[in-house]
Amino acid sequence: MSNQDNVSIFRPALEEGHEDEYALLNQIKSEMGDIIIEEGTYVHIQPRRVFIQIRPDKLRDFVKYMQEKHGMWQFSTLSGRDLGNDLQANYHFFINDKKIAVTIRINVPRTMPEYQSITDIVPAAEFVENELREMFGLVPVGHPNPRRCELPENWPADEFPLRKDWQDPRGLMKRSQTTGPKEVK
Amino acid sequence: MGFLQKLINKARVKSPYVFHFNSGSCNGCDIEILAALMPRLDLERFGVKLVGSPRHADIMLITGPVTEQIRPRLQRIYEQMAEPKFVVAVGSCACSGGVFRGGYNVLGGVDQAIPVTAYIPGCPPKPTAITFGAYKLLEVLSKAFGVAEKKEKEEVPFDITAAQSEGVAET
Amino acid sequence: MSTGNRKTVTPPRVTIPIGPQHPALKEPGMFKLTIEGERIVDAEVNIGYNHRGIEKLAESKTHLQVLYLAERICGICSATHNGNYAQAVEMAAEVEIPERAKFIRTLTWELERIHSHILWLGVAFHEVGFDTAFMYSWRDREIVMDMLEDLSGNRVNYSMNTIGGVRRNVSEELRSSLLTRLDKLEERMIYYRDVAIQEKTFWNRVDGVGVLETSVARATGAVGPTARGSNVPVDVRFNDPTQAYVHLRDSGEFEMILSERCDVAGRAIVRVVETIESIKMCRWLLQNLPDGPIRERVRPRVQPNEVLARYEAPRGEVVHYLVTNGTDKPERWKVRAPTHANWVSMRHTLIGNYLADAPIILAAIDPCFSCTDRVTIVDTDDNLIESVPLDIMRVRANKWYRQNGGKF
Repeated sequence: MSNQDNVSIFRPALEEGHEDEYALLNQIKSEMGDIIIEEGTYVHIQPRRVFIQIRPDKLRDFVKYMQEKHGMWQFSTLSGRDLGNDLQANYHFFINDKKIAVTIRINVPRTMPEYQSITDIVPAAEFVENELREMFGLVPVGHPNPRRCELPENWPADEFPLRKDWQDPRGLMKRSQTTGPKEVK
Repeated sequence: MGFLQKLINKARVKSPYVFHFNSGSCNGCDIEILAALMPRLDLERFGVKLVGSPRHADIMLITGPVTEQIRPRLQRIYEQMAEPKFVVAVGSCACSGGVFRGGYNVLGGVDQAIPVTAYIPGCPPKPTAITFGAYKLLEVLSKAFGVAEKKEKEEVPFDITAAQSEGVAET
Repeated sequence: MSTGNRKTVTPPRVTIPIGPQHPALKEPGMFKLTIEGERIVDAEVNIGYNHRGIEKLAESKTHLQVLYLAERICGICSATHNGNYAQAVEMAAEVEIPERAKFIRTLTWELERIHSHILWLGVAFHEVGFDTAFMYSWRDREIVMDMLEDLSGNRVNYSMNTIGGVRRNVSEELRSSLLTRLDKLEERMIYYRDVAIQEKTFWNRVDGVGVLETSVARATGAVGPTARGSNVPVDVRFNDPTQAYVHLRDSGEFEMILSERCDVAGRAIVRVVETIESIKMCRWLLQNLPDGPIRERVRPRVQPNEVLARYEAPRGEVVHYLVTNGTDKPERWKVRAPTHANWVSMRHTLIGNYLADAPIILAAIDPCFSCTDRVTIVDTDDNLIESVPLDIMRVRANKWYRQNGGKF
């Protein structure tokens, strides 16, 4: 396990030089303040990056609000993280008019890794939500087309390779380090 | 060896059909294989022809470290090829797994799945290397089939500087 | 035979799986096309044949090692992933790299875009049965391959970028030699642009084929030339510039190439015109190349940080989400390759088109739908199973066009 629990990865920026980003974040905070979680919500020191952490049950409402109010239609990708007790889903969007990349993230408890799928409002999320379910075991509830997309067909359903505690129970990583011709039937 | 068999063997060496299979490669080797077939190097002058079906092919060029999901397909396609069949592993990944050694979803080399005749290393091998590898394989095959051309003169070791000064080899 | 005995039959629904092995796609996919007669009524995309577990592998490697692993995500856009990872680590470490390094990095990226687009153009010519232009364009692609080899030392995996700058400098001789060869390349590209637009052999096969409306392209998150061919202004080089793209944008000489056609022809035009724009960008970069060092030292241990690095690859937007944790290894590294985003829009472009157009529509989102694919035709009524290589499918497609298209 890494030392992420005691060191914060958040690098908030000063307001100076990031006026547009702070204006956007403050507007969102004033309008949707009740569903935003303060920890993990900040303007990043890198230009044009805003990270917003929200309550997992309000993901759909928030994405709809962002689409209607801020014209956030360009969906980049979805990346997962393993935080130990929680699993995190980061939805990366890009607001084309304001030229700001917005990351919306939710923390889901590891014991009950479920959240509401947004594929019906953001069709582009279809493949990445399936991918996240395979790799991290984060289940998008209400996904219109749940199926296997990256891992082989014979992969066990309870193994999620990108979780930090996945210890390679079947020796796959060792297998790929063998050299030389193998006896083939 | 009968006359007909001799003719078939000669034809086999003079016009090998190759089939290209991607077993999870990064494309680098694939575009270099295509570049070897393109006007500058023109592998077709050795009679090599790229075909789309394994059933027509004599030689299968394989790139990539063989992912878990592609392995059954690779083995099935290998079985579909008609005898005699030869497999050439193109690129470091196909030879040994390359940079992907230690990954959970790769086998690490084509020889972990099917028998391999020749290896062309490089990441990716240059088109010249692929041409050279293909030519070497044809030489070995022609010896194995007993259709190698009789040596008329002593083989002179290739001198690159002399060739360059005569303008034969590319600089 | 009298006409009275005839009856109208609904054509049976037939499912055609295409794939999974594509020789040159970075994500070999399997396409299940359901057709009625000649029309495609449904399409499904299966991916995952090329899953190598790179993201997991990267967590056990140092940043410098991951750089070379990233390069081998895709051989056609190797500088893309290599440079984008380098830039992500630099952003996480909050290091500013020297100006000259930025220019050389951008130059490698743009040269790579030129080679990738010419490659695509050749494949597109091949898919419509115009093999002469295929051979021509691949011959001229060797010019840019030679340029890249002179610049970086390798033809495909350049390894130009390192964390904190670039590895090789551009000498004065190389600079003038590159400029001369860019002129030659531009002349050839203008010729191919005219071929693509004026030559009926190509134009009639792509005109009005594979329509992706602007609204659908936006909703499905299409990126790169696929989106720009549908008049969606997404181009990271102009919307979220990094490296020397900031200077390129500020110079005001370059603009985003958009097409309102929304079909395969639109995507082809965007790619060809973009190549010419890229050649101009390369020339601008070489002419304005600043002096100075090419590398900044970066400590191997990178402070805890999270960054989102974006770059416009030849096929569209590449996203690297990198989380560092104070050690010399990444905590989490997520890669979104552009083709992954285009699979969703693929279904919309295929539906309603002729089966004969499927190869060019599949090729239109991404190059290298090359010649060794195998197609299995499964007829649900007759239980007829027939294995057809894509070559033969292409021959049949071209034959069908000769009989029914009649335009050329």
